[in-house]
Amino acid sequence: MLSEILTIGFLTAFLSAAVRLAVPLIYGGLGETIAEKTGILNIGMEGVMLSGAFFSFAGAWFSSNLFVGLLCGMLGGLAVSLLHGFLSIFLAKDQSVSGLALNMFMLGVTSFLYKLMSTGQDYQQIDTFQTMAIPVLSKIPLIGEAFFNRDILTYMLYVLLILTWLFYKKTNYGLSFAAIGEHPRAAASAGIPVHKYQWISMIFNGILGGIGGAYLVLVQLGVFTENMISGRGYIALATVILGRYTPFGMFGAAILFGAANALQIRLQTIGIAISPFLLAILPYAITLIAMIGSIGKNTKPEALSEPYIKGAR
Amino acid sequence: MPLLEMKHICKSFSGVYANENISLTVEKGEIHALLGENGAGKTTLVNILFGLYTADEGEIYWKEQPVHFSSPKEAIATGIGMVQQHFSLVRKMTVLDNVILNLRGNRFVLNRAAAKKRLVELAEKYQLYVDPDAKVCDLSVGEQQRVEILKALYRNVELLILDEPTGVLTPQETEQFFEVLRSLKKEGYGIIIITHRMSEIMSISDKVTILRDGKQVADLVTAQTNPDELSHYMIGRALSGEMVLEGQPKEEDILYLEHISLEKRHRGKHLEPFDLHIRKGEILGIAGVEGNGQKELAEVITGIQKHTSGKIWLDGEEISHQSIYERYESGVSYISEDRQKDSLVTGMSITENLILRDYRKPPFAKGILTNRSAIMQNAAEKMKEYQVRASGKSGADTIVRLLSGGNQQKLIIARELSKQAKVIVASQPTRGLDIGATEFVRSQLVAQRNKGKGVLLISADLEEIMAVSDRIAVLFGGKIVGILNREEATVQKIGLLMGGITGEEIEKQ
Repeated sequence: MLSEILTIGFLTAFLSAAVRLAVPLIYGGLGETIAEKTGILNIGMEGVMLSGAFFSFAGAWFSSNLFVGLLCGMLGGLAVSLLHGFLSIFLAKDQSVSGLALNMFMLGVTSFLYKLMSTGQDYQQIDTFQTMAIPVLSKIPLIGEAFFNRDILTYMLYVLLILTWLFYKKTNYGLSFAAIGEHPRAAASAGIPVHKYQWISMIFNGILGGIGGAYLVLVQLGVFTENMISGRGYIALATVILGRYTPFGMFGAAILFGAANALQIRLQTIGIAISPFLLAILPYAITLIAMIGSIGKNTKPEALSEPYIKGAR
Repeated sequence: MPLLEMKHICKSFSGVYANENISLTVEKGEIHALLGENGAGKTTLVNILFGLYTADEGEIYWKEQPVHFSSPKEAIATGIGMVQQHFSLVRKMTVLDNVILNLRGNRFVLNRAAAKKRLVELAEKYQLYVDPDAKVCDLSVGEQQRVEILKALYRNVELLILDEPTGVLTPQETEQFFEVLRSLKKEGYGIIIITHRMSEIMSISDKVTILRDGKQVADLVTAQTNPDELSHYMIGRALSGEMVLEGQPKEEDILYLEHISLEKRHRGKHLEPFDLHIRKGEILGIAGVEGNGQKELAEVITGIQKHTSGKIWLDGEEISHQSIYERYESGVSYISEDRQKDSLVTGMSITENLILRDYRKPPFAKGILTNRSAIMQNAAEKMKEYQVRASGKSGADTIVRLLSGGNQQKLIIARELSKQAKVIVASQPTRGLDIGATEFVRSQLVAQRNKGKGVLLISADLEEIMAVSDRIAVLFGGKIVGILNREEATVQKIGLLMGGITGEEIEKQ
């Protein structure tokens, strides 16, 4: 059986699946990293992604245009993040409660809207974005297929990751955004408009999370189903912590999770003599183990999820 | 031409005046001290100047031009820098990144190399040495303060506001710090320094403005005044005088820490092994810069943290394995440094807080029920004895959060100075209190000592330690680096020990 696993063909397909499963997480994780860097914890990422998924589907369905669908997905995610921003920045409410409430709220809203949309028809399918192989790069053995024979949204993600990394590492504004999550009062003393930047980061949080949800619909499945994010929003939160609040760390964590998921699916198809229910736990178990491994190194923004109130005594 | 004029500033918080008609003028090359007790309105005033608060009334003039700051950004752009009491540094970032954070004139892509060069030059010029690439969390408090000043100077400020800058420094570091201020003054910087230490005002300032209860009570030229006059203006009455330590401590120990140490997983040693005795009828003062193991020492004695090695003896009986509750019953009382977090349940009433330690015992408990009348009676007695003042309407049922800091501390003392107390661990017991409450707290501790109990007084205020301690031990880096008798203790000697210079090294000098 081991020889079955260790063929180039198997490994290529496995890696390809790992990346495919990781992309929505990376979009969500990138949005979450940006939010958490400015001290806003958005547990509502699940709801953001669900909203992105539903509205991208609805947009693509009614317009028969994938780019319109993508735009609708971005706006759908944005709306949820702005709602979270209103509660946690403007009203300075508890961010965990707000996030959890939004997740449940969006589950209800999207299910209801989908019911309305699909009266009379029980199965609706849209076209999906096609893969576009990048010449030369996609021919690299093993990783070429996985990373460079993909869709436009995945390529856009690579660019976003690099830009985000450069932003925090090299730019004036990046330093300011990162300072807010660590010590908002210090940031304010240095003249940084704390709330404004938090709002800006929530805009990115919503758009990126929205794309993460839309990716499932517009690239992978072509359909919307109730609760289709099924925990990916929470996994995205975990990848941020595992990745130590850096874009590429988060990327690595998401790939790890994607690989674990791809592995359990493949093991099931091979027909290994382990209960499929047990195998399904694998990705989550790996996430937990990785978390235990990162104990003691505190990289969390120090003021994460503490509301900043200007001029409070 | 004055650098800064503030005229008729008024500011109130929920109907109470924090600043009432205050005016202040600072010239170039002037060090202007703002003196007042906690809550007198000093910090409010400078926060208005720095754009953190907005004044309800009044005008601010900068070089005779009217200005209005709605954020620190505008104040900095004008030329005003502030070093706050609690530093505004991002701990996980480097010194350089903290200095260039949100700097006007930063390009979109940062040029760290050029910034570093300029920072090093600036540091050289004013002898504010600090490693630009070190992370702030790895720096000592004194170094962090240098970073704060560099941050302001780097922004080309002309007026520097310093809020209680010396509270965290050893006497020697304070002297170095004053040298820096003098060289800044020579360069023509205006400086506003907030402090409540008379000696510092006398040594560094040119002029003094004194605030009391939000009002401006005096403007003096330092050279023409003296500490007595300053304190008279500051508190509005004369101090009631020295504490009297009656008789000598007894020979026997009441508390003995035998080779005690504390280690934490992933975070290294917090207390290095040492021995410490407190005798009956003795106040042992613990001096030291904060964060050198004071909190750990207090918590190891009271049982909040479990020590790693060694034994703790109370009145000849080992209490190492006792829980917090058992130790309290054995006679360990605790006045913690953070009243609101560690000593009180601020959302509960005075009555309830007074029985936190004893609620499960008679007379407060009757089986599984509480005895309301005994509890009420206890509250009435304790409030009278310890002068706890609550609002007229709710009396003993007043929620503790609504009490002043002084009354909260009196409440803790009323509870902790119980009949069975043998040792009182008092951590920063007068921090943040006004002078009246401070005197009350100190006299209570001295009274306990005179009754033959042991007191461990942990304080960052050297004057306090020297005023009431029989012996003074100095903590540095989690270790007792020296113990001095009352007679031989000088600010100079303690200061050196606080900076980590051991007793033997002092002898040699």
